[in-house]
Amino acid sequence: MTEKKNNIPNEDIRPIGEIDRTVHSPARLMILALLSVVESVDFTFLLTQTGLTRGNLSSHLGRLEEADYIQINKEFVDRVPRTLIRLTNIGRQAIQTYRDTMHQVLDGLLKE
Amino acid sequence: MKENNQFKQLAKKAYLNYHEDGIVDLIMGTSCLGAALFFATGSVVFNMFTWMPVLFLMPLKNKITFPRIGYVKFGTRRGRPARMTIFMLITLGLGMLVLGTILFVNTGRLDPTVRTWLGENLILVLGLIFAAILTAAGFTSGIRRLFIYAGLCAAFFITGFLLNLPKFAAFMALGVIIFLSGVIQIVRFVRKYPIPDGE
Repeated sequence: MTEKKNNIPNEDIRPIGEIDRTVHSPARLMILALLSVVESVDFTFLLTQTGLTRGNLSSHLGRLEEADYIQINKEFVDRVPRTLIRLTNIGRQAIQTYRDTMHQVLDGLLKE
Repeated sequence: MKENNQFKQLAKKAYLNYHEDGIVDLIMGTSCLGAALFFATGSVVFNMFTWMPVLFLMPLKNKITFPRIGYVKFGTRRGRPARMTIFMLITLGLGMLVLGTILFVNTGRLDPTVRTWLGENLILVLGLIFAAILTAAGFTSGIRRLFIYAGLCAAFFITGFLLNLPKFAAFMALGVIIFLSGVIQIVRFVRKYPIPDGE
């Protein structure tokens, strides 16, 4: 009876299992955090701000683009071609959901 | 959407980082020096130096800043438009004040005593308005050195007025300081942010 009871997931920690892993990775979270406070950036800006390597950054951007969290476009800015990266509405919603979930999970943690 | 303070700091840091290059200072300094030469010589050629440096802002950003720290477009989020609107309104208000004063003086609708005083002290009035614009710019952008420039601007123009120095003296002193500050910042910026490999 006790064993059966132990197999029932605790409702309080259950949301941890449902956290969006695409957002949860520290590198991707850094990228999304930066993109959430600006309109658009180029690859070099993300490179200097996050401190990631080129390969690493490219791979994380690919993953975020696959999930439709970011949009990568080639545009002309002041007659100079630039690859601009911006957060999509889906990506913004994903960060919001992630933040709410983490709040919900961690709010009571380490409190008496 | 409730804003997170850390995210606001992140945006602010990115914004300040973008203006760490000293290009705006170089442009402001050159404009002030142009104004000083204009008042010293009366030549229209130097008058062009007061506004022409602005045209070099984006080419210099493209050449120096973006290859080093990358390109960032600060959008309409995080309260920046509200701050920009305040700055634009203050600048517009002060501009209207200058224009209104000039029109009043020229059309003779102003009290002769005030008109004479304004005619004699126009440089002081312009200097103080410029100091107010710099303060407004410092407040809206969060770039602290603009407050220093505003203080220096007010101090130079008041000193020039009290000591009865030539009209160009305050512009010259302010221009030299802002220009040198820009040069120092640009050198620091280039050293701090070398062009990343593969660019």
